Amino acid sequence: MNDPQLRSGMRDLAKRVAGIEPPEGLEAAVMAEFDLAHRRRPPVRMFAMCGALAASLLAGALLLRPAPEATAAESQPFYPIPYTAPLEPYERVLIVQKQVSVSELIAAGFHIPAADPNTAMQADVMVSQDGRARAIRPVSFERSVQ
Amino acid sequence: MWQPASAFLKELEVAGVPAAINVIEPVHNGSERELVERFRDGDRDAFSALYKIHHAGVFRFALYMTGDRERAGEIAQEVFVWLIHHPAAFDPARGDLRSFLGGVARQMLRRRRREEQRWLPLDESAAGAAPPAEIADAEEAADLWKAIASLPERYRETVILCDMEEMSNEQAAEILGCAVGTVWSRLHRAHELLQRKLQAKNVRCS
Repeated sequence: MNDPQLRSGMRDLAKRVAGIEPPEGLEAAVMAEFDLAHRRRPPVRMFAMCGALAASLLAGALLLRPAPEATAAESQPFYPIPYTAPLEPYERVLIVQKQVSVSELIAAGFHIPAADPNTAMQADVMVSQDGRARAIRPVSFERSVQ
Repeated sequence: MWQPASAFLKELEVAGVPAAINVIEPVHNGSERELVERFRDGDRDAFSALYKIHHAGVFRFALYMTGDRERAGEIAQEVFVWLIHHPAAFDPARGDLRSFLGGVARQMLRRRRREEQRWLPLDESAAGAAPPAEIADAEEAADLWKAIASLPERYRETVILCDMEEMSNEQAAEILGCAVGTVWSRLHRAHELLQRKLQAKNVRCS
């Protein structure tokens, strides 16, 4: 057998092998693993988006308030807590005012680079019927929590 | 006091955060590099597109090396699952994804063979010697398959990558972790061995 014959045989074999399909369900299994992995680890882009939003929220709240204890809750919008399911129009919510530390906000997925984690803020927290916090509205910044 | 959520929905929209997490853009005909970047950001569609582009090549390489469709499927699955869990391992500046996945598949195959050889008797551990059922009926193709399968591994890998998968010597070198010149010399030697094996078979038959 010479070289051209060998190459011709290889082309024929490659053509036959190309016709062999992978086992069924391979793609579904791989995509299921992708979904599982990303449920465990939320996308970095979402962290960045939420972080930017939270940072602008806190920066805006700090700059626009002349006194630390000022309350202007009604003028502030609610900010959805990252990675929580969106509210449906038929759901009912409860607004609870409580003190929230910056570290809790960071733990919830907000990225707040400039703020001291020991700082706390008074905030309206929107709680859905399943008992989970869905959104937050800052009311005022308070002293350092130790 | 409980209030209807609908009263706040508009407000939540104004706040600038998408109402749902699922804001994935459809995959456009972007470059592979763009797909890789989007996959790293967790974009499912981008990963699916990369899978569709590369799974057949990974599967065929594993099929040539194992001779078994099911095992080749398992190797291909392991390669992509590994990629899912190591999205930063591929550096586009150092080569293309095809070569990278080929290298991962090679490592998976080696690891699996080591594990299998530990338990199999010597005569059963020569993986890939018999062609898959889809090839077995075509005599010449089956003979060539057997001849390739009987080559020493370093020659077999080179023939599969360069001849069967039509990769460049550079891509094969990246997968095999050797110099381009080494690929060329292995290929040359592999062709000599294949010709000799097939000639011997023809002489025996005639």
